[in-house]
This record gives sequence, structure tokens and C-alpha cells, in this order.
Amino acid sequence: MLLSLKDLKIYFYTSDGEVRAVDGLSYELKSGETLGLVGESGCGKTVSALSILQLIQQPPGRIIGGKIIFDGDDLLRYTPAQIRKVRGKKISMIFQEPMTSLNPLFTIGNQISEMLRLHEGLSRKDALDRSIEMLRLVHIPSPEKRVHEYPHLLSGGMRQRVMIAIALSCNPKVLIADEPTTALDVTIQAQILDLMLRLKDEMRTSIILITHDLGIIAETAQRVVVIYSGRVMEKGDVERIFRNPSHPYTIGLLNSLPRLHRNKKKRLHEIPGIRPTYSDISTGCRFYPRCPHVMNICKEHEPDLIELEDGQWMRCWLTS
Amino acid sequence: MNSARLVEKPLLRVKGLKKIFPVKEGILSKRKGYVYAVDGVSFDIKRGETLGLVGESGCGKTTTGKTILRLIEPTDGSIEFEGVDICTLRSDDMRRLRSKMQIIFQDPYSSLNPRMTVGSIVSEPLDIHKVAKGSDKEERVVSIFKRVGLKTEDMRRYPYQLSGGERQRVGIARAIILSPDLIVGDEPVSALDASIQAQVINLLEDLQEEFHLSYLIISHDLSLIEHMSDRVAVMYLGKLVEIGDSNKLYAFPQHPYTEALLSAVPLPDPTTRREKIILKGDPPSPINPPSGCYFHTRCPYKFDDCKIIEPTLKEVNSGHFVACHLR
Repeated sequence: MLLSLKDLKIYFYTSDGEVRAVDGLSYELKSGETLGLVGESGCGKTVSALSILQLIQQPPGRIIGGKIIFDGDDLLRYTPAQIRKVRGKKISMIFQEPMTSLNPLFTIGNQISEMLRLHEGLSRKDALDRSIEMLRLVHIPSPEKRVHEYPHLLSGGMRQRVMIAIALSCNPKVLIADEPTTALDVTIQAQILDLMLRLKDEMRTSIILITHDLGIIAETAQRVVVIYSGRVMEKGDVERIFRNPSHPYTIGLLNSLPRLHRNKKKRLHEIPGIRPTYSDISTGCRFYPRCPHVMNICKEHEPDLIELEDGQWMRCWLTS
Repeated sequence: MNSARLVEKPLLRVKGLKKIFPVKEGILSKRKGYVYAVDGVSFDIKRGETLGLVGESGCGKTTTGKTILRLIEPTDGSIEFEGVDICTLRSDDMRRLRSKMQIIFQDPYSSLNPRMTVGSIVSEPLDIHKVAKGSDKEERVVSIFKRVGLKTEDMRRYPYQLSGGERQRVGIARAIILSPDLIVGDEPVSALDASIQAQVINLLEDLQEEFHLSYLIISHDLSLIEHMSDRVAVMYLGKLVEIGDSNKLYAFPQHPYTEALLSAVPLPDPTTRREKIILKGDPPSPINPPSGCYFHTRCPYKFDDCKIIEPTLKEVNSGHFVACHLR
């Protein structure tokens, strides 16, 4: 296992009270795979990924418990100096907003070079050469010229390519991509996903891909973790889960999508209600207020995450 | 039914619609050029019909939607609503007509006044158009609240106290309270979570049937557009490149851009592996569009004529129009 999150709990303390954003979340990333994290906004998928690189602001956040094991160490115990050596070098991250994640005051070359000089100890000149090479790798046209330009001159798709160039410049083992194409148009999204997957194979990087788009998961990931209200509801092999989803939430999500070339003019399946606010959570399964198969036991006791068959996990009383 | 539809006059007829924005630069606001945001767009919407308008960001689809309601004044072209060219109407006549044509915006938060209760947001159109007051008004608001799936106690709450899905229901309630004929939905569900999207889409479809509404649904989401639309128009750099019956257009896309868009949609089915058409480059800037066919810079099938001659919309099948030299 390359990276594993074990029973992670991250709570936020706000004026509205305690928010249990991540509440006992466990997932693992295998070497060479793309792992999809899917769930609705506020389910904890991004917070859990941010905590891998200690990017949770504390306060208001607090890591209440759990471990993040990478290279045999618990990343949560790393000092700021130690985690800085991991960030960008061994584990990199790209974000949803390519507009705001680049510094507008520095040239693109500057921002790629920063990583290379810091982590690889390259000279200014060598770092610039490598930056041009990286831009070429992510298919930026005329990289020798672009390297001296500022981010505002680039389109959204190009900026995301630059972000990928920065993230991969030190050949990391893990790339965390948080909604990397959500802000982009569908034709540009196809370019970026294609690029990410190709570079993943070339550079032997593993990817944690966070998205709300089940289509992207189906086309890019090998395994998927379905998260609801800070908890894993179902996880396992993508093909098996999409072909044969077991958890009522996963089934609901898959059925609620309008799909290309299907379901035309057929009523969409609805998941009734809204996701719980964190103060609503008291006892029982997190999903029971919206579940079509709710039983008495669901309201009183929360089911455990159990292994159905090899590598397929689910949290639901229906199976036990 | 079909033959009756043929003779029936469209509710909305848009002809040669243009909206040109000047681009200014520097502290002296020197004019740098023009953006042809909407560049000669024509289409009809029949009663009870849904037309889907699809395209990428910046292609002019939102400007088209707003111009139809004269929320933005068109530069050229005509917009006939029930046979009346609304561009010629004076402001008080236009205001009266607005009760027949409404809009639902993408962001249900910024499109609701944060200082008004949602009850007064929904009842405000009744005041403006002086159609109901007192207990009659109260009754109508209550019945609309129930109809869109809101609780009547929510009437006293403010937008920030509602969830995204509930806020979008408020936006829908405000749009339908005057019993309009046409609703423009500008990305009506894109700000919502997947499980909530389905609820709102179903609500829009139920309301359409109940009130015999016509919809212009504007979205970048091709699956949503296919699901909701009877006919679909595809827009690229301010122009329609293809328009036709939704089933046929999705099954047999005729324009290379439509084909590429459809192939780029990620499908939530890992067992189907498709050969994707990945377009190269970014869409060109609308300030400085390419010569000939606007799509030729990214088109995988382009030939010499495409760089010089601009294609016009031609009917390839009954009711199915394409602007491409290949067809």
C-alpha cells in the first residue's frame, strides 16, 4: 500500500458549533492506480485529501484522530520542516481553480523553477531548462516563450496544464487532483484528463482523483471510494461498483444522473431530502433519513464498513 | 399531433439575433474592438416545447438567453413573442409582457435578494404586476410554495437559511407565480449536487406538463440537455452550428463540433470504451475570430474552403440544420 488513511477524524470548530467534516474515514491508495473519491459537496472528500499534506488550517480545523501512513511513517506526526520535504516532492496536489492556484505576480517559469530549485537543488539556469521541458511535456505551445509569461495570459485549460507541470516536476509518487477539470469546458476537460492519465503511466505516479462526476471516475479510476457525510459508504473496484452498486446511496447517485443516449424523457430517480447538516447527526446510519430501504435498526445503530468480497466494502445493514 | 404542430405558430421566433459588445482598454477607455457575443442566431420555440441551447463557456449562450428577455438589448435582429416583435415595445409594454417570459438563473444564491424573506421574493412579481393582493396574494404564494416542494414555514426565512436546492426552488417559484408561457433556464441545476439536480430537473418537467410551459434550457451539460430537450441548438463562438430534433442530433450529430462535444462527455459506465475525439487547442477568442468557418482551427476534418468560406445553416434532414461544408 502506497498511502493509507486510517480512521481519520477531522472536526472544525465554528460559530455554529462542531462540524464533523471527516469522521472515521479510511481509504488506501495502491501503487500505480487511480483512486477516485466521489461524493457530494461537503462530504469530506477534499478535507481528507488536504490533510494528507497537512493543509488543513488549524484552527478552525482540528485533527481529532487517525493516521496517514506513507513510506512507513505517519504524515500527521511530521513537523512542518518534514512535511515541506514531502509536499511537491513525493506528494503533489492540483486544485480545481487554475485561476487562483497560480501566483499572478510570478512568471510561469519562476513557479515551476521554485519547486525544482527547492527540492532538486537545481541552479537557476538548469531549473529554467527543466521548466521548459515540463511545459513541452504538458503540450504548451512554444514553451520557450510561454515560460517567461505571467498566468493571466493563459487560458483556463493552459493554466491547468501549468499546474500539472508544476505538480509533476519533481516526479512525485502521488498526485492528488481535486476536481482538476470542474472549472473547464468539456472539450478542454477531455484534453486534461487524457494528459493526466498519459503522464501518470509515463512517470509511474499514482493518483487520488477527487470529483463529483461519476463519468470521470468511470473513465479514469480503477478503484472508487463513495463518501457520504464524512464516512465511507462503499468502496472497491470501479467496474464492479458501477455494474453492481450495493449501497442504496451509490445506487441512488448512479440512477439520478441524466445519461447520454439513455433514459430520454424518462423521469430521473430522485434521492429524496437533503444531506444532513452536521448537527443533525446523532445515531444510526448517516444515510437513513434519505434511504428508500430504511429499517428500524438503521435509525439506532450505525452499520460497520464490512468486506463483502475481495476488496469490495460496504456500510449497510442490508448486507448483514 | 405532428401535423398540428407544423401549422401551429411558434411561441417565440428569434431571427438574426446579434449582440455586439465593444471592448475597451486602458484608462481612456479606448475602443479596442468588438465582441460578437451573439452573431446572427435564429430559432423558434413552440408552445410546450423545450429547446436546449448547448455550448462551451463564452460561446454566447447566456447572452442569447438574456437578450431574448431584453435583459440585454440586442444590437440587431428580431424577437417575436406570440407574433409581436418585442424589440419595438416601449418599456411599460415590455414590462407587461415580462409576466409571460421569466428566467431562472444558475446561482440560486446571488440571484435572490439576501435582505428579503423568500416569501416576499416569491410574492414580489404579484405586486409589480398588480395581479393579486391581500389574502388572494397570500393564497397564491402558499400554493406555489407547496407546488415547488417548499414548506410554507420557509416563507419567513431568508435565502441564507435555505440549502442550494431549496433556493433554486424559490427561484422557480418566483418564475412561475405569474403563470408565464416561456421560461429561460440558464444552467438551472449546475450549482447543485447530483442528488439534488435530479429533484429540480423532475420538478421543472412536472411544471412544464402542468402549466404547458415552453423552456429554453441553457447548459454546458450535454446529458442534461439531451434529457430535457425536444430540440437542441449547438452554439460555437456566437453562432449556431447545428440545430435539430434532440433524438436525431444526439444519435447522428452532423457537425464535427457536436460530434467532438458528445464524444468528450465522460460516461458513468466503465464497460463502454469509446474512441474519443480530443479537440486540439482552445476555442479562439471571440474578439478576433478566425476566417471562414469559426471552427476550422480545431476541426479534425477541415479542408481549404473552410479557412475562406463561412458555411451557413443548411437543412440536411427535415428540421435538422447544420453549418458545415462537409454536409
